[in-house]
Amino acid sequence: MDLVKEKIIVGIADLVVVHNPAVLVTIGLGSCVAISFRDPVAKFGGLAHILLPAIEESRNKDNPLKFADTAIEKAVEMMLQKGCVKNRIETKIAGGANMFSFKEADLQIGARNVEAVRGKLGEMKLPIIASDTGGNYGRTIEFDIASGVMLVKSAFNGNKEI
Amino acid sequence: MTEIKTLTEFQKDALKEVGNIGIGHATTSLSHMVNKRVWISLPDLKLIPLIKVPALVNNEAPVIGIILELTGDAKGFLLLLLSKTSAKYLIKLILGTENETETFDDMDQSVLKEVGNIMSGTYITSLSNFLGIAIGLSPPLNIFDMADAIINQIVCMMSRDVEDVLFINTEFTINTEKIEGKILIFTDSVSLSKILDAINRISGN
Repeated sequence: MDLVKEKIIVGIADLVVVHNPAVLVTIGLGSCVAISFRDPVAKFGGLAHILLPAIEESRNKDNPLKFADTAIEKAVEMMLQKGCVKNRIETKIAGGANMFSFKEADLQIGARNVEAVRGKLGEMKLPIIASDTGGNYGRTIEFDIASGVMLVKSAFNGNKEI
Repeated sequence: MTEIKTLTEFQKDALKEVGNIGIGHATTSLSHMVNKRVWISLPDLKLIPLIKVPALVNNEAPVIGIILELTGDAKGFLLLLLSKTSAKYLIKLILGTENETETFDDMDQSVLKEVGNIMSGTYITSLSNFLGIAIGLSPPLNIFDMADAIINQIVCMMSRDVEDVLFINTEFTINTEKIEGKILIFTDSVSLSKILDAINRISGN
């Protein structure tokens, strides 16, 4: 029998890093991006939910968890503090949709978030082992730390495991 | 421009009254469209960090969202949310016929856009007139997706320039027809100071 795993909600501009077993959930991603982190040996995992590409571009820098670059740094720092090893950390990303737009500039919000996340993960040499990004629909993410499976749910585009 | 972080009781009451006027006009126009009585809730109004907004809505279910961008003296968004069944009932009420599929066809979509146009138009026009400021509206966009994801995208779009938002949530129902909807307004703190200035002018403070 499967134990019922604790579900932890990760809000917008939020980051949770916990030990196995737990399922990290973020509900209704639009243009935001969720990034999962997992060290399969240390059995720690994390989920970050970012809404902007880079702290540099923002007037207000109070909350590093809002931005792709600083949230990823923070997540890795927390993982390492808990005894994870950097070259074992695997990541997955989802979100970055463009559900509607009023202006040309709006079109790129999701795509720019994804690009910034990919860029930062690449710079930190953290492999992205799976992703489900873009499109014009919202997603809910459930990341199971035990298996490393990220379940991506949507209203009309089906559910998939990545 | 000064950023307002808190509201006094007077300001809150005045803004609620402004919200009441808006939703009152919007639902009166809906009432004329469908020839039914429409009930409204008292506005729930908060000045909060933008990133706290999603938790206030918290609805993963697919909904019809009709989104309009606010321009001019108030920047932000107006979002009309209808559950799928409410949207279906409303379309039936307006067209007199029903599309029995699970989706919304072109005719349904244009009805919803028109409802969005009329309700948000009357809402915003009544505010503009009452306050003596000029708030414009973009054409409406329709979307059928998770409520949370629609809100999430609005938050992403506003978050580049905005920390705190004035969030006004008003709900309306047509009891006899099981129709329930919400009008949400998101506007930034700069727009809020313009609105408060206007309130002060009106109240002679």
